[in-house]
Amino acid sequence: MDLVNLVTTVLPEMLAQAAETGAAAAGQVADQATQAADQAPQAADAVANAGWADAFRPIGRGLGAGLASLGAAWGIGRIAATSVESIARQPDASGDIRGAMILTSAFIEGVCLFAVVVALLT
Amino acid sequence: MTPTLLSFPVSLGSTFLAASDPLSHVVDRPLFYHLHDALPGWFSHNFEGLVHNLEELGLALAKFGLTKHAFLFIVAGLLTILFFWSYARRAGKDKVPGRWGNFVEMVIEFLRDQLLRPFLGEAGDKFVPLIATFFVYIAIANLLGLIPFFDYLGHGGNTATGSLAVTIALAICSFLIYHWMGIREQGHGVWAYLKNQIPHVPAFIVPLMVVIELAAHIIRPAALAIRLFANMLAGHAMIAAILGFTVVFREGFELGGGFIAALSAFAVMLLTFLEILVALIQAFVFSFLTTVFLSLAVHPEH
Repeated sequence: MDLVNLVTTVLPEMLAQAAETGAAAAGQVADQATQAADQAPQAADAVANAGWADAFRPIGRGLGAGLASLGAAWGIGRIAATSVESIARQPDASGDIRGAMILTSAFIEGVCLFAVVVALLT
Repeated sequence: MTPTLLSFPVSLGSTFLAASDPLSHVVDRPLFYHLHDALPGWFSHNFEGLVHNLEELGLALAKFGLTKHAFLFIVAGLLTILFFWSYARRAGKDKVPGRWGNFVEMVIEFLRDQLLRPFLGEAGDKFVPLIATFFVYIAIANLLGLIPFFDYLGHGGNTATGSLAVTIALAICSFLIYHWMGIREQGHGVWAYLKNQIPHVPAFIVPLMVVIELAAHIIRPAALAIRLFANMLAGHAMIAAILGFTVVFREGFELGGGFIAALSAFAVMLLTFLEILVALIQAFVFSFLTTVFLSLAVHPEH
């Protein structure tokens, strides 16, 4: 059979069967959407009647992420300073020192990003 | 006819080189999501039925969990197999490796000499396939998230390792493997292996040491997972945020808005270069830590 027939007839028939299951999935998604729409007024209520303490939540998140970045920047700055000084003292070892510098910076950045993920994304 | 022909590469190019929105590279969505928006109008007008069916197929697959993350994870796996197979298929034959074979050899020798020999000595040679697979797999999965033209796959390509599920799966693999290798290499059974994990301390501190070692063995793979996930997610989120400045500041030219927008675009370009570096470094850090844990399991220090 030619390519046009394949694309225009056979493939859409196969996809139509998949589409039926997709429609069932879409039906479930629509059901969940209506449930969410029913709960939306309650959620808006909660936002409107939020306590004064809830205003500090974004401040806390931002402060947590910022302070974590501060600590990481200080640590990585110290690594950079000592590694550059060691390379200046002994240029022969610059390959090893460069590798160690990048590796340890990645660890400290990992710690900073733990805190950032907890602060901003939970 | 001619305007349509000319508009095709233009409209194709504008979506070809960019994702639909900057955060689409980390947010998990069904395959072929909103494909009718991504494709140029000429294409989606003529192939409307096919586009619609592809979108429904993507939704149907998402019911089984095959979203963009899973799909690109599988693609990264196939690319890893291809990476090694392309060199290994001439293993028994006396042919000089070409340029690509030289590159594969360079990667594997780098891992063996810089990573395994310092920690495990000559006995580390048998773990090279394991560590090389981790390294190449994570590097390819990270780098696939930086390729811009997967928009036709449904609202942007994806960084497979930008999902906590994927990185936790990798960390669980690493955890199971280094314990299994430790038990096998020490050769005296599971109980002797567990007793070897506790350093030699006076008897009354041993319960505390058990608790500490247990906590360490749980936290280390979790840290591996979260480090990789957070690096990939945060990099793309940062690029998305700074790219948002370009949109926000496009007006107000008198106040320097256009200048800030141009600077943000330039900064995003530099950040993408940094993302390439971070992708490779995170793959290396994962393999490095797996090697360290492996050496601690195989040769516990007392």
